[in-house]
Amino acid sequence: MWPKNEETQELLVGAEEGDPDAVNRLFERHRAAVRRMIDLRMDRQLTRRVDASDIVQDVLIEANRRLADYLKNPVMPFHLWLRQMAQDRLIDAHRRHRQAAKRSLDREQPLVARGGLDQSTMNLVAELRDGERTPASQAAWNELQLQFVAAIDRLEDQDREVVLMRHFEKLSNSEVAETLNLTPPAASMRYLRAVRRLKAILSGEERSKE
Amino acid sequence: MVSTGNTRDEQLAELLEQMLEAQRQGESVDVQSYAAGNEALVDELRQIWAACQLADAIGSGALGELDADATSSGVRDTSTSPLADFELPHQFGDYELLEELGRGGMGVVFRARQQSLDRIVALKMILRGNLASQEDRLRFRSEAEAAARLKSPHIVPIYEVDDYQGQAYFTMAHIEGETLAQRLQKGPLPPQEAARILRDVARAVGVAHAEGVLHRDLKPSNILLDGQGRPHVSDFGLAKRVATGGETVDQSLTRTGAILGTPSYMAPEQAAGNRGELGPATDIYSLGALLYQMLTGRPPFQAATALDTIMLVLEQDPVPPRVLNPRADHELELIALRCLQKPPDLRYENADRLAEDLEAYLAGEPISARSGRISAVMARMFRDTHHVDVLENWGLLWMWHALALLVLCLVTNLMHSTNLFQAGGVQEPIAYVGLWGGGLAVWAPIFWLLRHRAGPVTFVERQIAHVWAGSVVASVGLFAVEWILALPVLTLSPVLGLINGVVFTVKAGILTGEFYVQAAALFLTAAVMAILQVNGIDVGVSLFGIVSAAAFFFPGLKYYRRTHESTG
Repeated sequence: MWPKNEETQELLVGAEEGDPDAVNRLFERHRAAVRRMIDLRMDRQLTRRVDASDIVQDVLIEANRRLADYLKNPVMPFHLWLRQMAQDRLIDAHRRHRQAAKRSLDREQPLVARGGLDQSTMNLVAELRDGERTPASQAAWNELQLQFVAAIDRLEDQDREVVLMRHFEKLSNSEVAETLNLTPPAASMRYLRAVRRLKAILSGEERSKE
Repeated sequence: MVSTGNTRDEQLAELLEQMLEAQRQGESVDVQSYAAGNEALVDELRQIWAACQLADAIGSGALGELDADATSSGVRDTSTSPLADFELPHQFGDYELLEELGRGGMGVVFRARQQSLDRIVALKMILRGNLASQEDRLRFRSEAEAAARLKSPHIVPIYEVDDYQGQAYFTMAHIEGETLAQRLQKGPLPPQEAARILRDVARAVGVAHAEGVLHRDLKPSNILLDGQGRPHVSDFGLAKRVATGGETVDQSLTRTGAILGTPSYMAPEQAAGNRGELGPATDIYSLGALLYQMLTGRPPFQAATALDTIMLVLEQDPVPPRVLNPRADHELELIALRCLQKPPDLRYENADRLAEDLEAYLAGEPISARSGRISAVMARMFRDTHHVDVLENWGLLWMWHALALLVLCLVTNLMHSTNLFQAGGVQEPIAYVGLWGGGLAVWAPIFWLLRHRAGPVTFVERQIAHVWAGSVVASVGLFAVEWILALPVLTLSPVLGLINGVVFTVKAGILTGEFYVQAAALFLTAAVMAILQVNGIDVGVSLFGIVSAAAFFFPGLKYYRRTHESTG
């Protein structure tokens, strides 16, 4: 899902040489992936309050501001650096809106019962629609996705995060390790634990934990 | 493939990373081969891998959506396709659309009159969402044209592939009748009719395979039965597209596509999304699923949800048809089950062989699936089991073991023929017991220690060690038996051949069928040793030493080389 690295490298060189076009293209080619990364993680309360594209915009503005620093000292690959900022923004947004709206938002909640198909689930499902439909398979596919999304919803945050990174964002284990500040073996252990739980939920070994 | 991790979880995590990496490189991943030698892990690994495959397919589905949005600025609405709004009859180029015959995920089928030729055809319009890009359209066209070249009385002929005002469509012969799916709703088919239908379908599939076209989505609703009950296969090669290369998006869509399809009729390699492995055998599997359903009224795997169905396809063997329908024909059952073998190479080699077998059945002649089943059993007997990689740890040790055995036997034979330890005309067994018992007692712990150093000892290796230890006790025990029965020492030495033959038979079962050869050689050696002894030729023990050393040396060499190839 994240754009390929080679071209990013070229654009980074261009950006360092002060080419404004390179900077623009650098951010443009990452915009969709950042958006996607945020969409996968916004919870339903926040979705009603905040527009994801605002967060994307904030991330890109901040990235633009800090780009010079990054170019001087690129501590991690560019897409992971962007991702990190997006993650921070997302946490901020969640925190801010949770606290500021503790009264109002939480009272709005009964709109959807917890554990059922809530808004974030439906958003995700909408995104999961596949482009290639085959005769008679669409229903099965939809059902599969629903089941899967329900399962992923029941994972703990840490487990869900690693599954999203590995299978939705298609990050490699070493990228995940870098993002989570773990050693690669520790990251793959965490991944193992996550898919093991996912498997348990999918195969019905683990009924509701709520 | 030997994991360096220490704990079980570390091993699992590392194997999982290796498998994911291999898959990202576009290789097809076989769980068995990765878990080889880790008997305790294989079940969990297989289940976790299934969950990973799903996560990946669904994650890629989401990816496909993202990229499609990015390229077509978010406008991508198939639900409000203009196709829904026709008033019939409707003029569409050269065609007058008369009646809607059905609609599926891919498009809508109409009965239409082609005015220039004044004939009735079936016209299928492709939903726009399926052919979003120009590239998709070109690919669809080339595939439809490939399918149009197929000539078989049992393939629905495609007349024309084109687009009209931006709407892609193709036309094909209009078959009056019902689909096999409709027919099956009334229950299982009589055996003769089932065999006849599947024979014709298999012939059609054989023609397509010869032209390099796979169907990939054979299922009852794609088989049309005409007024005489003759089958006609439709949607050849159109159902799913397997890309041959290109962009990552393409690959991810393909990967998603691979897990799509109708899970009940999907071959395991298709359900697992191993797109690299899709081939004629994949269609053969689906043919078997069709036959199964004609015999029993239901597909081989059917669960409450698509996900559970996929799990069944990957992991379970189908219930024998006669359990579901006691009147199902036994021979057809054998044919269906042979098609439904999980390893592709155990199915019929090609669709024509399947058609011939059905032909033989219809003619009342013996079918090959029966003998085929024996040959499948034989093939399975002689193939490596998934434990065989254990031997890679043992290659060098086996070669040393061969040397130790050879020396032991030659020394024994020498002692015996030169009458070294003689007391009152009778040879003392004590010396031999000391040599054998002592020799083996020293060698076995060394052997085991060396093996231990190579890494954790698996369950399988423990089993083998037990058989081996038992055989050592039995071999030395022969001296005791000889002594009690007051037989001259080494009289019972031919039994050594029998004991070791048993050891190799067990190994053949656990590791690789190739060891049946060693087992047979050792059994034979026992007989030869006995004959030599009766004729007073004292070389039996040496012969045994040579044969048993060879039995260890050659596989040892083979697996030693294999280890060195795979690591270097």
